[in-house]
Amino acid sequence: MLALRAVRDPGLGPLTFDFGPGVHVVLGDWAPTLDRLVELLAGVRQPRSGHVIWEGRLLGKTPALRREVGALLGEEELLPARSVLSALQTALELHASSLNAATLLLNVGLAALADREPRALEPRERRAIALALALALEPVRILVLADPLAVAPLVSRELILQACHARAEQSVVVITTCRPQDALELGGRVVRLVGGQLHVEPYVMPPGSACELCVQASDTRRLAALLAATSAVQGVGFQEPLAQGIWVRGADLEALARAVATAASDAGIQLYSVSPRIVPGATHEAAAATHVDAQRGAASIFGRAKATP
Amino acid sequence: MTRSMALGARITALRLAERRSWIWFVVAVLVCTLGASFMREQGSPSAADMALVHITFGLVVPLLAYLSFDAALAGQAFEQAVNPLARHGGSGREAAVGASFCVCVLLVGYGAALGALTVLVSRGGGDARVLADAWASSWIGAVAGLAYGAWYTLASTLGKRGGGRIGLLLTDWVLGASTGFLAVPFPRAHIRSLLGGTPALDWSQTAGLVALVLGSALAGSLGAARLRR
Repeated sequence: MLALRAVRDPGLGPLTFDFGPGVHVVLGDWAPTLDRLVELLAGVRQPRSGHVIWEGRLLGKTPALRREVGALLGEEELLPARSVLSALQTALELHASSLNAATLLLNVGLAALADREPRALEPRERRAIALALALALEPVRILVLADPLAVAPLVSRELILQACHARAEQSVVVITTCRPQDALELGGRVVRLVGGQLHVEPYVMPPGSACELCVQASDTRRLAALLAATSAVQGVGFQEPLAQGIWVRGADLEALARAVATAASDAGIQLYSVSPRIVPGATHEAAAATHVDAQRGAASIFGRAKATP
Repeated sequence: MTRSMALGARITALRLAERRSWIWFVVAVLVCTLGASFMREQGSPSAADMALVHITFGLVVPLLAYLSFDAALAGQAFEQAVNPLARHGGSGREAAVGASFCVCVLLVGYGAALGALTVLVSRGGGDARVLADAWASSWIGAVAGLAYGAWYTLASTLGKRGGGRIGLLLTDWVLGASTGFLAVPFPRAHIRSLLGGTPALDWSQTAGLVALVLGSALAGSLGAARLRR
């Protein structure tokens, strides 16, 4: 059992929560907070207060305990070495693994990076190497991954999903993500991180509409009209007064953000703030009743603005 | 030497090479040479002492130690600098000891070389005692390098990003320059005494050397103890 006991850290806590064997997907809306949670659960860093306990011992306290953890952090730093291959081989040796670094890179399709200098890699490439290592290590009993599907296609989604679920019986697998679609794809128990607290919640994905962006802009009414005609946007809503901003819904957070940025830029509208919001299906319907559908110009609920697939 | 120590030393050597830290040594050689030449041109009989106390060991070596540690730890605190090793099951403390050892070896070499160079330049070839004095300054430089290495090991465990290093640089400059009780903990005061300058609390050179060695051993041990296993 991987247990958080009265853990406090910036944006987190006080957290008291248990992770048993199996896959747990922590769904949040702010990546830096999720990354901090991953660092704590991987024993890379101690919390500001409280404890992270693994089978009765403080996680990360001794080298032997750290060898039981495979982790992908939000920002990865490979071991300083002349090449990726050398850095990876050293990491494998520290984990007392008999795996060969070259074979490992070949198996995950990252052989092209073998001779590169670790410092010269892009952040996503460094994370791909770290993910390959974390997924390959044996006998890892805790696997903590920060948004692993964001590494795809450098490492294939199928391989990531297979490897995570192959560990589920024997190990505690904790995966964090900001994307509801990824949470569904990863499967397992969904735990929501809201206001620094973890809540187990059977997450219900509203069909075809998963994410919301709250947008404040210089001309929100015109922006709403423009966005309603955009393919990535499945619904646009707002409440009077318009100064509170508009809500834009769609299936893909990145596509939504891109659509907002493009529409604002094309129309010369100044964006004041764009913030993501994750919408649990159960609570969404009630909240949506107060919104006004921009496309129809009448009181409506989200999702009705366009035909939902 | 354990595997973690060896790896700690290796990644430190790589970081120092990647950040071209040798450039600082080249700059230090230039500053010491220019400073010693300037002192010599003043025609003072204590030109070498002035150059050693005020330039080489008063300014250059402490700054070089600070810059070397900053480069070796990639501008981070010790805990973060050895984290890539520790998180894969290496011992953080042993890796830090290896890293510190690597920088200390470098600083011992830097201190010895700069001490000898300063004497050779400020005294010139015609002086009969130049070699003996260069040798004396050389071993004092080696001890100074080791002392600063130990103190910066402790300082690098303080602060989120190793901010203790800049704290040590400044307090050593300010308090170490005095001769009272507050100067006793700092390497600068005892190195000055070894070079023939005013000692702290009127201690003898031997007492100053003992204080320097004991203080450095304590600082290094405390630094290592502050790191997680």
